[in-house]
Amino acid sequence: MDQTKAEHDLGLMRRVAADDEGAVAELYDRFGPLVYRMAYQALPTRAEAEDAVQEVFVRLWRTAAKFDPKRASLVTWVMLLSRRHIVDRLRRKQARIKAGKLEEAWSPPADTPEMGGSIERDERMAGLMEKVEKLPELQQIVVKRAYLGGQTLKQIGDELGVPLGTVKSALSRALTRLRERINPEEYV
Amino acid sequence: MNKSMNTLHTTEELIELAGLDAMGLLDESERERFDRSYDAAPPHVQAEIRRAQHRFASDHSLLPEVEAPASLRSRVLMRVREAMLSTAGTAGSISQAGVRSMLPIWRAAAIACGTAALVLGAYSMSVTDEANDILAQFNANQSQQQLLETSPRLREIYLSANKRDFNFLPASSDFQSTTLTARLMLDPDNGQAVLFIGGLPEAFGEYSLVVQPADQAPTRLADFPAIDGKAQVNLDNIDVTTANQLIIMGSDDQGNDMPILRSGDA
Repeated sequence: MDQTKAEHDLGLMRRVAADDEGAVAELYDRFGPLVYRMAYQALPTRAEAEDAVQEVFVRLWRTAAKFDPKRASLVTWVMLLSRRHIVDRLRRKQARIKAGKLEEAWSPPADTPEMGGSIERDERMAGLMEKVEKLPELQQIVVKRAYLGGQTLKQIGDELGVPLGTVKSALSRALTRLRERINPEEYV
Repeated sequence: MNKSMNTLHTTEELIELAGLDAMGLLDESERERFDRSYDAAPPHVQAEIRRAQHRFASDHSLLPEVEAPASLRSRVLMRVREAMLSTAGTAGSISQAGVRSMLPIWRAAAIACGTAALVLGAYSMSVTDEANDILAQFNANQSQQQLLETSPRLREIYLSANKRDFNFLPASSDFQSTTLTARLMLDPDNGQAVLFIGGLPEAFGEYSLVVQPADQAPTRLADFPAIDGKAQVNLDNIDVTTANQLIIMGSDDQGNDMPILRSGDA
């Protein structure tokens, strides 16, 4: 990564950690749209997506002092924290539903994306799902459950009776294949 | 932790998992193993992993083409500001410890909140005697009124007609202490909650809050530091069931987690 950019990013995160409101605004301007797209894809409603984005930026502020450009670029750091937060939120939601004994309203993530299933969400997922459907069966299942449903890899392995290593490999290959299909020119 | 979790990943495995880590798809134990393996890897492998993760994180083609609402920016900035104010108002000890100083803009905001709190004060003082005791224990140097002035969230929860309180009990005999105390105040109508903890054991460098429904794996809700054994944590999307299944964990220098307190109805 460009050294100047890395230094700028480190300075930005130090200012965020020092409660600099302007730095938080700059961070949002750079990554807010990306975080929103992630939340919008994973969560069932716009309201939940917007709430999750707010939580993510609070989390970015809280952890800003830990940012180390030698370990990860800023976009990787933001992506990682955001995805973890969104996945945790999905898992919490599943846990709450289960804890409330609403088994009739909850079924384990199956072959369709879990958490919502609204028409709006189905429409927004249509493009991605079309590509997912072309993957080998195991890869389809793990993408839907892990990437879209928020299930842990261990849960998926246990439920499918498949070793954890196989689940990880299938998910890794699936995500690489999806990216190849969406951006074929990068892989020529 | 099973035996395989203690072994390091091979270079091939590390590179295969780089994308999953960047996309937040590894389980917590897997993340730790990945991080340990990364730290032990030679520099050229680390560089390759960083590049692979940067590629994954920079490629947004799997995401839907959608624009964030324009109003979201101001709401995000407001939420972060509220969190900053809340931290600044947690305790005088935080400022004294030099962890975060209160910037002039936050002082001004605190004064503005204080003005609003004067209006609410008479009512809140009458309904919060029991909570006042907890807050007095939480911070002997700061009154309940001062806490309310610097935390709009806390004020809202106080004034909620359906406010619920949850106590915490020591998770084991190792943590029987007269000073260790925690209390969660929840507005069940909007899921917002504030957790106050005091007397946390100093043996732990970091703390976390997890929810663990019966017979299920725990899910981490928040990581937080403690200053002089005290911490204040703002939480969202908490319901009564969740509030009854919380565990405050301590993490030592080796990364070992240990349950300190468990929640229950007050």
